[in-house]
Amino acid sequence: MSGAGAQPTGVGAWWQAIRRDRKASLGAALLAFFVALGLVGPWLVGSPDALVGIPLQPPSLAHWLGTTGQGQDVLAQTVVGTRVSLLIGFGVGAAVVLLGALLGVTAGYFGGAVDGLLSLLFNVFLVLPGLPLAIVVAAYLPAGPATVAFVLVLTGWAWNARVLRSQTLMLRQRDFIAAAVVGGESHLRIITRELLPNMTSLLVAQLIGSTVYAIGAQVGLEFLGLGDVSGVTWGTNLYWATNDSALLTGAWWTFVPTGLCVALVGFALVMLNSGFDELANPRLQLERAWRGWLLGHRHPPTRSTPVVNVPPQVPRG
Amino acid sequence: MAEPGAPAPLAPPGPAEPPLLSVRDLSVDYVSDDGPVRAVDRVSFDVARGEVLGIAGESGCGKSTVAQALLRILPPPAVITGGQVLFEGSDLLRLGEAELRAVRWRRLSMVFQSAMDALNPVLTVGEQLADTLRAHGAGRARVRERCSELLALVGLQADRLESFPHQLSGGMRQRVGIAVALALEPALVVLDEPTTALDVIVEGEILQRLLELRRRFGFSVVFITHDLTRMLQICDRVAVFYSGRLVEVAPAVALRESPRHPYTQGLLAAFPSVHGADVELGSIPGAPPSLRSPPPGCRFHPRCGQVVDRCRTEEPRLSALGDRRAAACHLAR
Repeated sequence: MSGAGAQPTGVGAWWQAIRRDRKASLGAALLAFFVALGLVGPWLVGSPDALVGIPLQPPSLAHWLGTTGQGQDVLAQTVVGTRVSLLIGFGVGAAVVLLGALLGVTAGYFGGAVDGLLSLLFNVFLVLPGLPLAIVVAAYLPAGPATVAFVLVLTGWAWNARVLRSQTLMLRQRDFIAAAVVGGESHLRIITRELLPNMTSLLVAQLIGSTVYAIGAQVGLEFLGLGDVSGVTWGTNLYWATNDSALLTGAWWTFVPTGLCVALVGFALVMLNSGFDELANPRLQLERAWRGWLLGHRHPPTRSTPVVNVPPQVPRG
Repeated sequence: MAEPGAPAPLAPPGPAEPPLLSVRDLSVDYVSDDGPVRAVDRVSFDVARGEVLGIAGESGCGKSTVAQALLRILPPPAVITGGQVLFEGSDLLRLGEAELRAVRWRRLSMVFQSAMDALNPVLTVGEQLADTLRAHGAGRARVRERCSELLALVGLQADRLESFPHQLSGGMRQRVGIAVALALEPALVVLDEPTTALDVIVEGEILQRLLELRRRFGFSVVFITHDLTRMLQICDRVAVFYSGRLVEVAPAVALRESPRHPYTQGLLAAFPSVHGADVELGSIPGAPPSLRSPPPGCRFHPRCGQVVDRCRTEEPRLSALGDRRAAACHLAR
């Protein structure tokens, strides 16, 4: 329970939203762990490229997660791979949402020919099959993280733009936008101060969804050998594991740790999302207080207005 | 239930007949992070069969909250924290979801404040009426016929069944809202500021039509508005709310002629009279109290011109003054 009505704003509000929601707290903690791993991890483990032992050793005290088919340390590879994988994931996620917001809101807000042209563009990109296009483009460009990021942004932005355009079209009709126009606000101000804040929960959901997509697709591309196979990322780890026939030889330790990392980061991001709905929708904050109060009175939250503590009545005169 | 073909002449409710709706000590709280705030505080009133009861009061006095609490459709964070709503022999506050669903609309319906928002913009008027009828088990052949019938009741042409809500004027939309509310011939219709968004001419027409229908079918009405003049015209009895409490209830004529509660007196003085002498309009000084920290004693005492010491400490109870009226004021005797 917060104090006397003072609602925190900005970063404080985000922090509180995460802390109040158990799922979001779990997600944030998990994500913080991986971000920390990406930041300082590479200094804590040895070189991922060094040939440290006999190839395909199962986990042991010397090599906690065993060794790869080349005789490299799996733990070192997994930890070092975190940095680039997360960087591309968050970078692509942010770029996709930014591009989508820019084009989608522009199309929805200005309408007319602008909308016609941009909508055509969205539709073309939506029709293009994403993964095959990504594979073809990645195969022709020089391999490396930048290429992977470029390809993922290229194939990923259109859906966000499409959704934000619809949202803008709907909000555009509302009286508060008309009031802002009459009040003489500039287009930029209307878009950034009036429209975008009304889409906060959508934008955050898109950011999280796009990041999950980017991490998964990047791992997928690199797994297929379309990344820079001499680099160390989660995707190339899996590429080398397949290359060394990990499944045939039963060397589960060469791919399970990386796979688990990808799954856990995705899980963390999705958990985190649940806390953010409340931020953008003050009504949900009230619902939380309401639900908590009802549970405190041993009454389940019901669809019809709940009735709590009906005392025996004395008719009044 | 009255059939459309056989209008029952409305007899004045006899003293022995139990009221159709009997609200006893109804309390509603809104829960926030800082704890619950009481928006409606131990309110009791009755509605007789065929009666039009008005609920008047300023914005935020709890009148709409009461209306929605009757149907148990108050959204979170509202909680009903006590009382009884006796309607046709059962306490609505003790019913489960399924039982409530059976009562809602079939026996107890509502006309919402915003006719635009209460109608689905992508469905035609006919489809919305049919939805209501079908949801409560009317046959396909009967639905079509009944839809035209309902539109005729509220004074709309049958070809309006094909219209979408945006093709109708505000008055027409509210007529459709009333038609939807009457579709299942309920015993009680709650009107939550149904004409606030309409001009006075249209408002007058719609309310006249409603009274006519009431005479024909004998349903009861709970009518909520802040337009006291209009309320006194169409209601049999009027209940005045202030700060979540019922402060006075009286037959409309008696209330207009001799309001007993100082708040009612203030409200009446604030409305111009069309017929009467050209007197200066009064107003009530100050503003309604915060529900979070209401003043002790009578909640109206800080704004009351007739305040005595007792008002500051002792909460007046609603006491009967004879002649079917009651007031919650130490001075009303």
